[in-house]
Amino acid sequence: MDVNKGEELTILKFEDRESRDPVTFSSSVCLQTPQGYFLSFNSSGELKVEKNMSFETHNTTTAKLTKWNIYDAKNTKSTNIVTPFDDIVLKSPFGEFFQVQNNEIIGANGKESNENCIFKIVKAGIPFLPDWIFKRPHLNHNNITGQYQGFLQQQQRVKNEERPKNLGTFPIEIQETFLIEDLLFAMSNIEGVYIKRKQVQGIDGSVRSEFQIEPYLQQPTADFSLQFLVNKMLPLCTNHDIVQEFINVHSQFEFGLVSHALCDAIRILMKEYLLLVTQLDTEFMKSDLTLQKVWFYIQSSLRIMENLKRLTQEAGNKKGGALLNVIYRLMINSSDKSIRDLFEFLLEKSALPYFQILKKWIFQGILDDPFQEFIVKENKQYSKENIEKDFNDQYWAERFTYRDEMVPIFLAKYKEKVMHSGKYLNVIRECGKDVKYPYEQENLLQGVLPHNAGDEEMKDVDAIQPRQFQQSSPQSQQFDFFEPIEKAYEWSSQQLLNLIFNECQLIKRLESLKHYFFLDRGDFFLHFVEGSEEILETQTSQMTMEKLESYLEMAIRTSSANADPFKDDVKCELNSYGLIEQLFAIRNIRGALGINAGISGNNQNPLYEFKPTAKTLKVLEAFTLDYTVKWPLTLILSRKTITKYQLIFRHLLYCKYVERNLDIVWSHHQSTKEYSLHGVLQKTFLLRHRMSQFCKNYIYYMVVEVLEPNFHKFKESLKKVKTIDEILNLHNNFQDECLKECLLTDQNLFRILTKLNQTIHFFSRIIFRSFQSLQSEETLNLAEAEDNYYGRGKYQDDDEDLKDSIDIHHLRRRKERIEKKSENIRSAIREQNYQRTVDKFQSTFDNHIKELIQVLTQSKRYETHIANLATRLDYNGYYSEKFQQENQFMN
Amino acid sequence: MWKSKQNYLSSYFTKFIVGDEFWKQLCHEHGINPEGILEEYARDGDDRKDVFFYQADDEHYIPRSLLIDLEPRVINSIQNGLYSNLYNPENFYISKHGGGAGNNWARGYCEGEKCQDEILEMIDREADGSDSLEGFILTHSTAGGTGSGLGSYLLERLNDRYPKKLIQTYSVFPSNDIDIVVSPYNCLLTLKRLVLNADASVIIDNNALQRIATDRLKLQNPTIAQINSIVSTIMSASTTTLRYPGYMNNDLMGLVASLIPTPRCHFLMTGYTPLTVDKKATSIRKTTVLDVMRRLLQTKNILVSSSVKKGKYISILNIIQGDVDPTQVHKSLQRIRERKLANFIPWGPASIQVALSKKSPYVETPHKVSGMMLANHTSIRNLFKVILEQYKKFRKRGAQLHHYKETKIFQDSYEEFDQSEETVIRLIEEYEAAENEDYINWGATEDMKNGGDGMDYQ
Repeated sequence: MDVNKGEELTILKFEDRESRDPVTFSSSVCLQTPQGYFLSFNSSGELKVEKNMSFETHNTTTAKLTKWNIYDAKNTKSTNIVTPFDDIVLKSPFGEFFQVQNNEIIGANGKESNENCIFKIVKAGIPFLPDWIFKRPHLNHNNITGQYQGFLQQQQRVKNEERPKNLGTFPIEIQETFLIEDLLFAMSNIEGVYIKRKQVQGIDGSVRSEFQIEPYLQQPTADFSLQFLVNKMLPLCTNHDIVQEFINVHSQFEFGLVSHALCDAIRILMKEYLLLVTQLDTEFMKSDLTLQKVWFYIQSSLRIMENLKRLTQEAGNKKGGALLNVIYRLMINSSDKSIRDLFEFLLEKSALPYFQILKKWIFQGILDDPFQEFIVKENKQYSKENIEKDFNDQYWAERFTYRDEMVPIFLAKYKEKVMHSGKYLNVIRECGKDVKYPYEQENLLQGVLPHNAGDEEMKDVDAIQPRQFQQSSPQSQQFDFFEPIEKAYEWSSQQLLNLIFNECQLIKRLESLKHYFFLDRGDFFLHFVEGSEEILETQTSQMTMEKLESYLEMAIRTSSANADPFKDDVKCELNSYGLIEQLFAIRNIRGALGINAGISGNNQNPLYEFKPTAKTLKVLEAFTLDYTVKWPLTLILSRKTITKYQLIFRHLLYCKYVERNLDIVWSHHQSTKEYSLHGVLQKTFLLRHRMSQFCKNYIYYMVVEVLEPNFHKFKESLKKVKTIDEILNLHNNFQDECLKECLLTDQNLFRILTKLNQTIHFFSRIIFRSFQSLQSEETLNLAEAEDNYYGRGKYQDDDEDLKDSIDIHHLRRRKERIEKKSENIRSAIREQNYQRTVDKFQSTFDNHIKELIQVLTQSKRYETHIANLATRLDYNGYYSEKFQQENQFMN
Repeated sequence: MWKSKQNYLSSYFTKFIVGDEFWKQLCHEHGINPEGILEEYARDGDDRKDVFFYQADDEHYIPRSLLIDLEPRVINSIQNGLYSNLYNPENFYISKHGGGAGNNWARGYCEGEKCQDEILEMIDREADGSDSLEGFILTHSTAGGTGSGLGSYLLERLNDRYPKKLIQTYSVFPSNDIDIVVSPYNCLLTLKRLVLNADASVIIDNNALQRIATDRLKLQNPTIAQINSIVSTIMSASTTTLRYPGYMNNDLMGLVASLIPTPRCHFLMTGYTPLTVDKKATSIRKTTVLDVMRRLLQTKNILVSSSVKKGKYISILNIIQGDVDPTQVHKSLQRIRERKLANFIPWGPASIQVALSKKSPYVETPHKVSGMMLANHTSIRNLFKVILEQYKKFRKRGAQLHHYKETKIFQDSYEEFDQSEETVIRLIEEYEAAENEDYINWGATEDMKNGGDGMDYQ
C-alpha cells in the first residue's frame, strides 16, 4: 500500500462486505478506498479504481477484477488471521501479483512472487515507521526487540569462536573485578566478557534472553560465592532489558498516547537508574567497589525494576484506559509504600494525555482520540442527517458509545456523566456553534492533573502524588474528580437545554406539532376537510400530491394555524399503509425484535413492506401530515416520534371526519323540521343521535382526557428537566401513553373501534345520499316558483291592495308546498326500502357498540383509561341497562 | 378560490339592545376598538376574528351584522353611540313608516312583507361577502311586534332562500308580569316559526334574568344595561369555541349537532357561572372544573325559569373557559355521575360534553375560570306551557283579538293562531315524550293515528 501518498485502503471480505470478522490469509478480499471505489486492474496489468458495485454483481468480469487473494509473504499456505505489520502478497484471480516496479509504478502484472510484491499491512492514519528502527540493536540502549531474536542468535554464534578464558582460572579478587565490570555493562544492557545473554525457555514456552555468567559453558567456573551474589543481582539487568524493550516497542505510534506517556515516565526512571550505574562505575574506577557494595547500592533499584517488569508483563499490549487500569490496580494492590509511590508516579504521568482527551471532551465536546483510548467511542456511520429520514435511527443512542475496556477504574463512577457532558456539547458543536466553557478549565482539573507535567524530579512528584490518587482509592469516596466532572456535566446539560428550549423553541415546536397532529385547533381540520372533501374519498392512485398540498396550504393559511411560526414545516404525505396495517406492522416488528429494536412502519424501509395495500386505499385512509424538523431538534423529534404523532393524527383525522359527516347528516335532518316526518324518520334521528354521541364522546375522550392532560403533564414536567435525556424519556412516555390511551395499541379494541367508525361512516354516506335525492328536483322547483312569485310582487310595490292579497296567498302557498313535499318525501321513503336499511344499520351499530362496551367493562378494572372511556360512552347507563335487559330477555 | 369557512350573519331586532352589547363584548375580546381598528396589543392574536367580522379595504374590522327595526329610536341611539363607526352604515334598516309594529305580531309580519326586498337585499349582500357562510344568528324578542313578527317573517324567508344554511336564534321570552298585554299571542305565533324554521334556538327567559339579577347579583332594580350585559356574556361565551378554535365544536354545526337529536327539539337553555355584572367584583372563589360543572347544573345559574329538577337532560355541553387543569375533567364527570347531579333521558346515551376553551387575553376578569352550559332539557316545555295557557285564556275571552283581525293575515280567519297552537302543543308533547323510554316510537304511532297524511301540525 502506498502510504506515502496518504492513500488508505480498507480490506473487505469479497463475499460479505458487511462482515466485521477478521480476515484470514488465503481468502479473497477487495480493497476499498475511502471514497467507496474498489481497486481493480485491467488486462495490461494497469491499476485503476472502479466505482462501487454491489455484492450481487460480483461474478461479472468487472467485479472479478477487483478481487484479490491475500497471502502471507513468508508462508503462502498460512491461513492465520491477518494482523498489522504482517508482510503480505496480493494475487489476482488470474495469478498475477500486485507489485511495485522501479519504486514508481504499481501494477498487477507480477508473474511471480518476489520482493517487489511484498507489502506490509500498516494501520491507516498512523505514521509509518521504517523497518530499520526495529532492526538496529544499538539504537535504543543496546536493546533488541523480541521480533528480531533470530538476529541476536546469529550474533551469538559468531562470538562463540573467540571465547575468553574461563573465570575459574583467575584468583577470586580478579574474578570479582571482572564480574563487577561485566555486571556494570550488563546493567546498562551491554554484554560483557563473561556475563552474556542466553536464550532461556520460560515456563510458558516463550524464549527470552537472560543475562548469565559464562552462559557459553556447561557449568560456570566462577567462584561459587561470587556467582551466587552476582546471580542475585542479574535479574536487575534482565528486568532492565525487558523494561527497555517495553519502552521501545510501546513508544511506537499505534500504542497510543497513554502508552507513550507511560514509556516517557519509565524513561525518567531509567535515567535515574543509569545515573546509579555511572555512579557505581565511578566508584569502580576508584577501585572502591566490591560486589557487596554493589548489592547494597542496587537494593532499591532492584525492587523498582522488578515491579516495572511486572508492570510490563501485566500491561502487555494494552493501551489507553485499560493500561491505566493496569497501573492503577498494581498501585492499590501494592502494600509497600515506595512501590505504591512508584506506581502513583507512573499513573500520574500516563494519565496526563488521557485527561487531555477527557478535558477536551467534557469541556468542549470534541472527541480527539486518535488511538481509540478514551471511554467514549464515536460511531461515524450514524449521521445526524439520517435521523430525519430513518425510522430506526439510533443516532442518540449509538453515535457515541462506551468503550468499556477503556474505562479507568477511578473514573468508572463518572462514566455516564463524562459521556453525557461531552455528548451534549457535541450536539451544540454539530449545530455549528462554538462551545466556550466559562470556568477555568485548568484550575478545575488541577485536582486531577499533576501540576508538574514537565521534567521535574521524581521526588517532587512524590510530594504531590499522595493527594491525588490515594484519595481516589476505593476507601475514600470523595475525591477531586467529582467536582469538575459534575460541574462540567451540569454546565453542558444546561447549555444544551438552553439551545433546545430557547434557540430551538422546543415548547413552541411541540405546541405547533400539537396543532397539526392533535388537531387542537379544530378550524384547521374544518378548513382542510371542507376544501378536500371530495378528494378525500377518492383512491390514492387518482390523486396528485400537488393537489393535496395546495389544499393543505390553503387550510393552514386561512385557519388559525396561520399564526404559527412553523407552519411552513408542515407537509402532507400519502402513506402506503392503512392505519391498521401500519399499527400491525409496528406491533409485529416490535414483537419480533423486542421493543427497543427498531420498528419501521414507514414505506421508506423496503425491508418491512410486506403488505402493499396502497392500491385500494382512499386518500382519507392514506393521508397523513409530515413535519420537517431540523437538527438538533431531530434528537427529540426523530422520525420515530414523528411517526407516532402521525399514528395519532391519522386516527384522529378519521374519527373527526366521521363525526363531521354525521353532523352533515344532522344538518340535512334538520332541514326536515318544517315537514312532519318524524313519524318515519324518528328511528333514523335517534340512531344518528346515538352514533353522534358515540363519535363525539370518543373524540372528547381522546382530546380532553388523553391528549390534552398528557400534553399538559408533559409540558409541566418539561419545566423541571435537567438533561436532554430526560426530555427524550418524557417525550417517549408521553407519546406511548397517548397511543395506549387512544387505544391504538390494543389490537382488539382498535378493531372494534374501526368497525364502529366504518359503520357510522357508511351510514352517513347512505343517509346523505338518500336525502340528497329526496330533496332535489320538484321541491326546489316549487321554492323557485314561489320566489318568482315574489319577484312579480316587486313591480307592484306601490299597489297596496294587491300586495295585501299576496300576503294571504303567500302563507297558503307556503303551507301547501310544505305539505306536498312532506308527502313526497314520505312516500319516497316508504318506497325506498329505507326503513330496512336503517334497521340494518341499527343492528350492526348495536352489535359493535355492545362488543365495545363489553370489552371495555371487562378490562376496565385493569386500566384507568379504559374505565374512563367506558364511563363516558355509557354516562347515563343507557347501554348497560339495555344489555342487561337483552340478557334477561335472552335468558 | 376557496376561502375560510363559517361566517355567521347576525341580524337582530333592537327592541332589546342585546345585539349592540354582544358586539361590544366581541370587540373587547378580540381587541378591536370602537372604530373597528385592531388594538396594538392584539396584533399577534391567533383568534378567529373573521368569523364574526370582516375587514374593509382600510383594515377596519366590520361586524357581519344587520340592525333592523321598524322604528328609529334604538337604532338612532346606536348610531349616536360610542360604537357608531363600527358598523357598516348600510346595514342599518329602519322602516320608512317609522311607526314600529305596535306590539302586534301580525303588523310586524306584514311590515316584513312590505320591506322584504330591501332587507333581503341587505342579507344577500352580506351573505355574498362571506367567504363561506355557515349560517345566520338572529337575536330577537318574542313579546313585542317587531322582533316576533318581522322576525318570524324573516325566519321563513331565510329558510326558503338559504335552505342549506343553519339558523340559530337567541330568543328572549318575556317575563310573566306582562307589560305587553298581547305577548302570549305574539309569543305563540313566533314560537311556531322557531319550531319550524330555526335549527337551534337559545332561550333567554326574562323571568330568569330578573331572578338572577335580584337573587344572585343582589341588584334591586336591575338596569337594562346590566341585564344586557348578562345576555351578551352568554352569547359571546356560547360562541367562544367558534372564535378561539379548540379541539372540538369549531363550527356551529359541530357545536349544536350533538345537542339536538330530533329536528324540532332544538330549544337550548343556557347556564353561566360565575355571573357578575360588575367587572371588578372581588368575590374570588376557588374554581376547579368540578366546581364550575356543578354550579352549571344548578337551576339558579340557568337562564330559564323552569326548574331543571323536574324533567330530563337530553344533552349537555359545557364550555369551560380559562386556566383549568385539564386532568380534572374526568374526575369531575365521574363525581357528577356518582352524585346523580344530572338526570338524563332513558332512550339513548347522553353525557356531559366538556370543551375547554381559551379565554380572551384582552379582557380582565376577576375570576380565573368561567363556565357556560348549553343544554337541551325537557323542562323547557314548561315555559311553552305557560305561554300556551296564557294564550288559551286570552283566546277564550277573545281579548285584544281585534288588533289582529285588523291585519290581512287574520282578516279571514284565525287559522294562523290555531296552527301555531297546534305546533306548540306538538312540541310540548314531543318534549314530554322524550322523557320516556319509548320515545323512539313516538312519531310512529302518531303517524299511524293520522293515517300518515302529514297534516299533523294543523
